[in-house]
Amino acid sequence: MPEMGNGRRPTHPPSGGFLTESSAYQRLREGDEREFRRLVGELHRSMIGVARGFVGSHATAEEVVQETWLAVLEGLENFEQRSSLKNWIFAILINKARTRARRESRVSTFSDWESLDGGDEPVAEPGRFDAKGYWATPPVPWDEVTPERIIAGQQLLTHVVQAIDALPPAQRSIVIMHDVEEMSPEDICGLLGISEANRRVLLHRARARIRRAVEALMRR
Amino acid sequence: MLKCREITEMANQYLDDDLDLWRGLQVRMHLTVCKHCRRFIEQMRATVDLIRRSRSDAMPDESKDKLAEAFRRRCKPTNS
Repeated sequence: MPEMGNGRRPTHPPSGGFLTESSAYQRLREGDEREFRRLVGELHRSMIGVARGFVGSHATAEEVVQETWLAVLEGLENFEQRSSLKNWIFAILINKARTRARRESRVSTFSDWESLDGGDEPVAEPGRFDAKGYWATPPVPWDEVTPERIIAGQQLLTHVVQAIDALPPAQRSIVIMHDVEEMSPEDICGLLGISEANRRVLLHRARARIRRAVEALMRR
Repeated sequence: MLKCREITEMANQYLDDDLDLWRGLQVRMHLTVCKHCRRFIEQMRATVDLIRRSRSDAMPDESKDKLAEAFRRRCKPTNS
């Protein structure tokens, strides 16, 4: 459980974010199709990204996501709201992705996640420090870091989406669940069956890779 | 005093408020005197902000239509 050591920011918000949640859930129960369409659209990229942490291809991930939504519709009436709606959706997704992975004979235990993660990757920025641990090649300033800024022919945000897609599967799943979907560390660890220490390392590596990708763009 | 390499290793825990009091203090002390690490932390923060904004509607319409049909079958509107 994170402590308020720095006192700068509140501890991680509870899972659910915009789906907190009775409102989204209520609207679905009331047959609000627009709400349903909004939900499936907004969560799509994240669900594909997490599913691909387990299954072999984008096409299979699409199938898993479709199956997940059908299962969500099946279970909506009986959903007891003991967890957030988003948590529940992702729990179904991960279950289905694991089942599919087993059928494809892809083992999906955490030890495989570690190897999928590129386990030897340094946590610190590689090759940037001198022997004493101080910056040898310090970071250069970034100008105009806005999502809409055009670099190399497309928006910076598009580059970031591509950088997330290019992450090793375990890192991608963690950064999606933690940063994009704002799920709590506890929920992430519970759903993926990983330790807090592993979650931290995967998240750090994912963010560090994306920072380096942005840095490479900023140097153009 | 922490070294710069160690600061980068702890950058995300620092941003997520996931360091204990003493570690947090050590990081803050280093940041007051090291502009390179300050820049690194700011860039990591900017990166996380971009990641957070990266969500977008990416489901093909055909797939959405199929699911919407299933939704209509299962969840009839309660108010006409």
